[in-house]
Amino acid sequence: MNQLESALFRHTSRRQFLKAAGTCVALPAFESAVGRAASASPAAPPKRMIFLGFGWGVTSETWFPDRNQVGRVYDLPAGLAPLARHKDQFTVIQGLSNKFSIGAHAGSTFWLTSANQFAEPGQAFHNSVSVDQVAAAQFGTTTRYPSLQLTAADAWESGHGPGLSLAWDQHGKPVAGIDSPTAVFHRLFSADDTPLEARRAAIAGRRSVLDAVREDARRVGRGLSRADARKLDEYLEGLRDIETRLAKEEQWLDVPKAKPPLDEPEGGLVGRAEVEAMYALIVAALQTDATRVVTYRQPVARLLSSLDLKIAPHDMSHYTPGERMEASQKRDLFQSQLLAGLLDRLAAVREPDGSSLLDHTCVVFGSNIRTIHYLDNCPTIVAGGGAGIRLGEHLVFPDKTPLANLWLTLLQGSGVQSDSHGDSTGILPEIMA
Amino acid sequence: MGFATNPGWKGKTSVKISTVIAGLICAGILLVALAGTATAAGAATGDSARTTLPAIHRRLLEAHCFKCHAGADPEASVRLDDLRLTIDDVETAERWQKVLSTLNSGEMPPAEEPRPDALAKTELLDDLSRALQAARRALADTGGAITMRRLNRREYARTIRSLVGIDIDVSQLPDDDGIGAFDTIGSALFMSSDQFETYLALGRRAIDDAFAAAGGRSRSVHVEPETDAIAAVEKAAAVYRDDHERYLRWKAAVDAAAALPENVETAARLRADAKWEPLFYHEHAQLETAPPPTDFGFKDAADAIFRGSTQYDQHHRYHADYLSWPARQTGAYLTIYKVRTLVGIAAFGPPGTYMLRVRAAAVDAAPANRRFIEVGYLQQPTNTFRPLSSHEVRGTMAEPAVIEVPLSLTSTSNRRLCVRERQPLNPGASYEAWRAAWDKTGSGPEPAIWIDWLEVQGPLPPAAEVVDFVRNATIAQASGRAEADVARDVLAAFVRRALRGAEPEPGFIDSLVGLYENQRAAGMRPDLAIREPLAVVLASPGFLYLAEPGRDRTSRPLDGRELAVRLAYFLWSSPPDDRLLELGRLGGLDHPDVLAREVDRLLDDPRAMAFCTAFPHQWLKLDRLDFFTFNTKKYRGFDESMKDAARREVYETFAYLIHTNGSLSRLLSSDTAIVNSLLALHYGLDGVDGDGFRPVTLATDSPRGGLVGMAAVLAMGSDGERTNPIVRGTWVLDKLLDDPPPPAPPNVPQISRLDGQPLGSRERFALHRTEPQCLQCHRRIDPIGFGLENFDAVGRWREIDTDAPGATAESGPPVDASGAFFGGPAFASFAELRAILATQKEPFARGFTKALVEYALGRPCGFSDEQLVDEIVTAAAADGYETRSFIHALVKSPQFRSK
Repeated sequence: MNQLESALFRHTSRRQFLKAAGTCVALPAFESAVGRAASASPAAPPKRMIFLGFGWGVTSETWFPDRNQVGRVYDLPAGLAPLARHKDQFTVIQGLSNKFSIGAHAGSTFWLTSANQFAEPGQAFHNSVSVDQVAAAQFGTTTRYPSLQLTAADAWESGHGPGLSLAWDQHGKPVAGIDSPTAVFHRLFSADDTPLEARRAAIAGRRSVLDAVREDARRVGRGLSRADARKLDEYLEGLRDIETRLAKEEQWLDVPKAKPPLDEPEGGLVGRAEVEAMYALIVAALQTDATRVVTYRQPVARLLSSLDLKIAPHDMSHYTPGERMEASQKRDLFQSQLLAGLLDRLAAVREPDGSSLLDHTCVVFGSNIRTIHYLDNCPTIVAGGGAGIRLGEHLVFPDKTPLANLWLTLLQGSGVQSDSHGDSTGILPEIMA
Repeated sequence: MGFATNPGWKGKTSVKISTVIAGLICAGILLVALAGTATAAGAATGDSARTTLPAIHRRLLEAHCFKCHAGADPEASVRLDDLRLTIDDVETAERWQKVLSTLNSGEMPPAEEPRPDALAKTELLDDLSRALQAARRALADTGGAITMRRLNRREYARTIRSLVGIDIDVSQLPDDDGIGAFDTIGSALFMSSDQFETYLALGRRAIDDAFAAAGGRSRSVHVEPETDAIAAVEKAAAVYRDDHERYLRWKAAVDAAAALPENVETAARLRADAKWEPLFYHEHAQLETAPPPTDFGFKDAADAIFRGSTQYDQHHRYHADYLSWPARQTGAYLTIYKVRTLVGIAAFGPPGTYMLRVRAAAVDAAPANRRFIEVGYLQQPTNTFRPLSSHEVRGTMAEPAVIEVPLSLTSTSNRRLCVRERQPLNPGASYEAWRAAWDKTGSGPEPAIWIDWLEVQGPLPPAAEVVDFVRNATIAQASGRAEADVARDVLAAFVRRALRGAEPEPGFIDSLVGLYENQRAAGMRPDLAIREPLAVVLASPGFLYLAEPGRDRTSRPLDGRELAVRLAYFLWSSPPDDRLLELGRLGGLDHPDVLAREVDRLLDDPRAMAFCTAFPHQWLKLDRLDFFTFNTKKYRGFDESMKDAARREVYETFAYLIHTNGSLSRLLSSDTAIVNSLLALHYGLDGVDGDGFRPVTLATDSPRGGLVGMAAVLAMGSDGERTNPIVRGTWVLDKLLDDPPPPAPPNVPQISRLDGQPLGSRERFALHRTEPQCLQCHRRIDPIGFGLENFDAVGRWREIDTDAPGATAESGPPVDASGAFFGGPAFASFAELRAILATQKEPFARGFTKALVEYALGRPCGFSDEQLVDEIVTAAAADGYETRSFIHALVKSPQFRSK
């Protein structure tokens, strides 16, 4: 960024931006910034997306509905029983998988990207943008945070595989997640008491740091081979991302954060309590329009320990009848219970037009691993009205239908412009309402 | 590769293939390639032999697949007749991967179609998975190009240490040792905006901590643990006693009520119904005028029974006993469950090295396995003990001895240090040990460890690097020069060191001075204002990346400075010291003798332990040891401390070979084991004292000596409960025989689940024989795994199969370790298996060399490196596979010395 540009950014407030851009373009955004409740004539509520991923899959035998019962009339299997009261609000989909996924210990690395690890000749690892980040690029322009990434401190033991959260950015690089409910709360709601001028100065200070290391990057970049220059580009892209973030922070500097609709979570929550707290924060984030896209890489190891299941999560995933399978089934049950709780919360929040938050949110709940080393028929539940898909059904697609086709369908259904994602071959018209 | 390279066995392999050919080929029809381009493409890559599927397999595809999957409009759009046999691009690899997956999962051919011949299918799967594996490697071959690499997490921490002299907690950074490659592979080391901000935050902390460390005043804290211990145990005992007395009074009152005429009948019935005496009192409400337990200070009847009876019975006596143990007045005994399990001491103060001293004794009657303590801390908020190290207690009650434990404490370390008797992390295991004693005696286990006192002294005088850093980073007052110029000098000098001798851009220094001036303008003191620009240096690309300018597709010799940096990060995971950097910059390192001398000097330096730890850890994939939780109820001895000792055996053995320049082949079989007293306990070796690892000469019939006898290697070939012969066999093929089987394919039915209960290992193997998709790999893997069945899940020697269905620790079927290598020699026992492995020096050296090339050059070792690998192995073989000769040969090679 040259000096002129940065000077412009520094002195242009978000409101001035809006004024310059014309009211018709910016109204919904402006409204979201000050809170929709205060607005006299509510516009259509915005679309939101939530992706909840768990490593190590599920108990195949007791989590999936009977393949012969498709459509609206099907029995909820034991593993999904706690979701009974929401049966009309979600759809269970079978037959989807990521065809390039061959790493049986990576339940989340390629889940939302549907990428091919080996796609780049000369590289042992490659990934591409995740579906949430595609949505965030469009939904995130008008919120304080383009997206929110939550994760758990036990990601490795929980079978998620490489990555920092479920999200991978436009360049296929991992996006960091926050693993503590308290930290999420502060990110969303803690007021910054520092005077505006001091905060402006702090942002300027952070920009000067970026400018300084960029000076060194110029030297390092001199005479690099193309591959090395690409590596340095990663670093420079990182700096640019921070700059974008700073510009955004600056735009929102004079807009106070929303009042928290919930209390600060206790410190040190583990497992079940931790997931509950995160779910409550997800709802709070959407409710206050701090963001419209959330991913959560959920704990499995910590969930087990909070349920007093003394079994290593990887052992559990290789279940055999007996202790391990029981643990696996208990895990399913509690995960379903927690999900039901999240749906309750989403359904309880009212939009200005009287509809519920759940009506405008697309909730995806699943894993890239079915169970053990099986990467086919990825467990998939889609809930809520956000993407306009058929709800209350059990749908079975032919085996190996690309999971990416679902991602593409959900993107388009939510109003995100996208023609393809990962290895998608098209949308799934069968699931559209 | 592997046994296939052994001329004696090659014949067998070809016999196998010709049998298949005879069974398959009709009248001399042999299609050379499925598509015309295959030959040309194969010739171009030069790897075609390994990435080409033998043409023979086309017969099976033709017979079973082409009916639907050929021509312009194939079934499911899967067309196989135009699929090239040579896998030389990503697309072809993906198509074959699909064929492999479909065959592996058994979904094709469809059930109504004829089954392919089992043997032919096995051979196809075997060849196809190997060709694909080779193709993946060929496609990832960088042709020798080394991608610029960022410092990995280990190197970052060590580089910070060498610059400012202190340790910082780097756990916020991603662990770079996670994606199946060495953590030195540049193309796999990423950077993101979040990570940049973490570097910035860690850099600030490092600078702050270094200043704090320089100014720290040392102090000493002394704790006599008996004072607290006695008070706490007396108090607990009094509570148990009080609960019990109130319980007795309540019981007496209920009994009195029960004796009343109106209650006699009910009381008799209740007494008869009560399966356990206290349950009668639980029903007290059915007796008229019987007083409720709340009158006696209990919440309810259950509470009264639990506290007044159960708790009292179980714990009071142990507490009372504690207060009678002979030396309780002068020190604290440690118990493993209840009473007094921990003694603690706080080590507050600036970051730095602290000396913890524990004067301790083992009780005379203590058995050998209870003569160890663990030093650790209590993790919050769960109050869980986390061990940092374990120590043998060599002091006796007659002559207690002081154990010294130096600890590097960072600004974020937990400072509440604790000492306890060594035991598993799982409290359930300690409960069981206590319970076993209580069941017998009504008290807890006899104490084994007695602690006289604890002392923490620190911080010890700061490292020379801290002193130098702070001296050089101080803005000297009244020097007669402009403050900005002084700041510029300070920053320029630090940048040069941080950039490992590279010349910084003046513009960079200008910006840093600008940051300093901003801080000053904001009212900060000079000594604080300098910190921000210093921290920013630690997030600059010149610091974070090992950059070597270069061109695409041509290589150039490294200059002396670059060579010094590459060498130092290879052998120290740290920047070069002044001497090495000087040699690099002044040109001395060009000389082969000088270079060789420097290699030896670096290897002799303690910093080489970084290499001796990280390299074997990643090469041998020791991370699997942490993949499962060991059942410490079943294997009580294999707790965290023992697991750590087992892991360290591998590092220490490698370090020993490096230091003594011993033969690499000693990792296959050796008459010496490198152990400490704790591990010697696990192995049943007598006469090994102390915490330090040292060489111990083994009896001729010892199963130890060599990697296959090491607890770490054997234990990671288990699931923490039972042995896993498949994992062990795979590991041996991969790491010792340089013949890695393809990765476990997804979607193959898991055999252990086919019927309701777990199967014995041999039965499982029998099942492997029934399915071609299993047999293709398991005929190689399983026999080796079964040859190691004399070791249990934690690597202890056993004669009976304690994992067999129905077996116990004492009785079960005898272990049958006999078998034969696939297409190779047979063995009747583990000893014979190891003797055969010991002959495989060349393939072992080859696998080691490939790993070394990857680790040192920071890129995958591709087919284009075959010549380099040959040269290194040949050079090392001429020296009897001396460990250092591999390193010398590699460092001498043009590949190591070129960008």
